[in-house]
Amino acid sequence: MFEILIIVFLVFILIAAVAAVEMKDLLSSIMALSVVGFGLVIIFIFLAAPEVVSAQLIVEMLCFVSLVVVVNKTSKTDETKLYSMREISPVSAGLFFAIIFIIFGLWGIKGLPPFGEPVMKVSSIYIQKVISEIGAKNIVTAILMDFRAFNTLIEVILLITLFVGVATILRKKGRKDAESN
Amino acid sequence: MPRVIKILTNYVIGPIITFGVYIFIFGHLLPGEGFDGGMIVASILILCIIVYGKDEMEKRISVNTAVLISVLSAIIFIIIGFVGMAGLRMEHKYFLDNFLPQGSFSHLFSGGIVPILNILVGFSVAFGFYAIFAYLSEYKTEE
Repeated sequence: MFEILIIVFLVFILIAAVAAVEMKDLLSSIMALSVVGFGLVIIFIFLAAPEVVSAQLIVEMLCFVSLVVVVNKTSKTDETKLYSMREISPVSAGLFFAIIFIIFGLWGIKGLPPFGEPVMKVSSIYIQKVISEIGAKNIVTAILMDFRAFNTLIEVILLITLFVGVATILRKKGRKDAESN
Repeated sequence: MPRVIKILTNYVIGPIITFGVYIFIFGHLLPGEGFDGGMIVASILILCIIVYGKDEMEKRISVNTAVLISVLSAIIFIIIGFVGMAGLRMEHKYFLDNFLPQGSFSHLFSGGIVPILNILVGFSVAFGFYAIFAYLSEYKTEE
């Protein structure tokens, strides 16, 4: 039952993603993009994963607000040119790579464990050790902040790198201009 | 912004900041961790930028302060990792070892360094995203 619902929502997300790419008006494109995120939230609710639901919900809200602000301050329509049907080469190249991706993707899916029966090699060790060695009640946080704390550290450093990039691109004056003025 | 939105924002700020801080302080007991709580606090700061304008928020929390807090919490995270290499608990000598005592299970003071790292990640994420949005709201196209 859940698998059918999840497949329905996945198809819905695919349609919304294609709409987000193809729309001319940038505001409605952002609406379609947020449909993708909130559809993922509903899928995570079906899969009973409250941690991922909260993170995805909040990130999606903030992305929506930031994108609306950016569109308000820059341009409101998509100004890239669409390829006409005469220019056959980009379309055919896209189709070629899509077919190659689908072939390799189907080949890779064969190796995955079936839905609902995960391989519990590492996670069973985590579940056994989390009470005796760490003592945190929430196993997900214990894994994120203790067993995989190095991963979390790199995530924080990634966020700071993101901030440095934004500050570098969007600052109003370069350092030399500020000194000369 | 219209006056209605400003008054409503005034009523909303307190509860939402409390909720975000609650999520990242109780991250080791309830669903949600430092990242989620930090994003909630960041969202209310961003609401303040949108409603009151960037200049008004610059007087309260300047961008430089936000950057300082964000980077300092990451540096404290790394320092805690190096303290774990000293082998304080069970002779474990690896980076980011859980060197604090466990405490009583399912109480607030439990889990060793997990709640401390939660709080650090929460502060880093909250003020980092606030600074990013402050930079974005400052930007204007040259006309």
